[in-house]
Amino acid sequence: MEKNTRLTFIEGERIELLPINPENVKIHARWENDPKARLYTRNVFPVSPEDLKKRLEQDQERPKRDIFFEIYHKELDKIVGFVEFHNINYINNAAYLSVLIGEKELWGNYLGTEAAKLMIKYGFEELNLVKITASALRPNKGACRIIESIGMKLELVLKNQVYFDGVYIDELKFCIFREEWEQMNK
Amino acid sequence: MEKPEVFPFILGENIDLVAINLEHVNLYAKWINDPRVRRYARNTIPITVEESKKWFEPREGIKEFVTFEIYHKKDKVPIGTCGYEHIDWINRHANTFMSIGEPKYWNKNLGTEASKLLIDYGFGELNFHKIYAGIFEPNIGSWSVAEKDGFVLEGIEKKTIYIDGEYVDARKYRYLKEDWLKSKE
Amino acid sequence: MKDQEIFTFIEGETIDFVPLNIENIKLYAKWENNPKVRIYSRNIIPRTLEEMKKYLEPSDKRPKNKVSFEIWHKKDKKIIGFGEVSDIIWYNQQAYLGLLIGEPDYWGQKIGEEATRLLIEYAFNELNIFKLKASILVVNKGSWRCAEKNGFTRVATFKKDMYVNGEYLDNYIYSLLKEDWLKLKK
Repeated sequence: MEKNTRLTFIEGERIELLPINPENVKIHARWENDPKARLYTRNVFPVSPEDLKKRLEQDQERPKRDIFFEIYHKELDKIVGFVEFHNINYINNAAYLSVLIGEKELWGNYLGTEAAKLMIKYGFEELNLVKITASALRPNKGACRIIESIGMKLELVLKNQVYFDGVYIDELKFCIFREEWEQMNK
Repeated sequence: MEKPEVFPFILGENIDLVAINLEHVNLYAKWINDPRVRRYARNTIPITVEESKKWFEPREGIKEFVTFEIYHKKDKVPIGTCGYEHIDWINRHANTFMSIGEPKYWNKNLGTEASKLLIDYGFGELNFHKIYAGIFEPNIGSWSVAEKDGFVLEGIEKKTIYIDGEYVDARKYRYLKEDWLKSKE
Repeated sequence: MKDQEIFTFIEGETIDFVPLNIENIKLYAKWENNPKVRIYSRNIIPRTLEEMKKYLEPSDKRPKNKVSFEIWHKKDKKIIGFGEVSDIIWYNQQAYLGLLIGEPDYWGQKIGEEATRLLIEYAFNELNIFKLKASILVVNKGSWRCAEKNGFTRVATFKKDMYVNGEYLDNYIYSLLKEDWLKLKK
């Protein structure tokens, strides 16, 4: 993608965050259905590109409850995942963060961490959030590691919250407050 | 005014849980806007009667929530609402809510009675695996009753909601099916 | 048939399950019209073009009472059939299993068995279903033998249950409880 046609919204070191491009709906469908990628996101219904297109069309009123970005890898010149805030509450100034690196070959390179850090900065500095939360299933050690490395702390353990591979497992909820993040970044 | 027809769905001692009656929609709107009631119900935007009506209109698709009216048997009046929302049929859990809208019926253990009926319904009829509830820290009346009724504190979400000019903590409670089965032994 | 883009949702050995693709509406029509296939596809593939289109309409995220897949043959790179978990009654945790291998060349190759196994695992392990049922015409021996190999038990025979090609055919009802299936797996 040419630099001048790319709609870079947030610039990072190795990656950029771009608004969702409806033309990429087939790539999104591939990631959302991929058995390895969807294992811990608990996406249990198959999703076609048409379904995704329809979801994008249901545009939300501003201020939006959900904000999505595609993660663009500069060197590889392609999108590799997405990152989002959802359930943004403008009165409580809180939101949920989630990250998915859809291209499995790139797992283990801390791209998810970089994307999450960019989002947290965007959330606190531009959306005026006070609290950002994220959750992960207990067996998802990878996600727990990313979440802790970006400074989030364990807040709640929801016992037997999610049905996973035939049993009920715990969901771990993490959070970070703006004051903590500001301290970290001094 | 002639007393409207009531269709009890779950029978209790002092109260019944009955189907929502759209003729009472003015009452629901009054409760949900009442400052004493809405303070801890997380309602910061006024709700009109029209919006209330629309909320209870029949919808297509799998139910994500179930609402009851709490009906006082002796006085023959609705006194509040309760039910389940955010029903997740795959993980089989739901958030439970309860609100006694008429202050003269507070502190009479009616909440506890409604809560018990609702829990039995959730596990015994809807086949839930886990019921959860979130109650704000200052709402001591509500959460102390919940704990008495058997809800277990799962944790505290700090500074999670903005009430009356400050950020307030939310106490998250859970009720698992295994606990319910034990309570029935 | 040109190489279509597929989005694997469930990974198998010879086959994968992928979301429905609106471009395959002609395939469904072909199966529905093929006399060899039509007799068995009666209760699975929608009959009219309107019904087919409705099947393929984009759905929103909330749970419905049916989940449908196309069956993708990995080596030959083509769609060969259709599978679904249908008539889901969520609070009873029950559903029907439906399977159709639309391309007769792929009959008799244990593909039906693999597809059934994958659907059962999906229903029990991901959708939190407790009991599966199947309704299979008596003449469809391949199908009910497949069901029996996967642990289904025949619980009823409904005589003259379905009108096909000018006559009434008998129907077997099969059922499989999760607890029994777990015992079988050991």
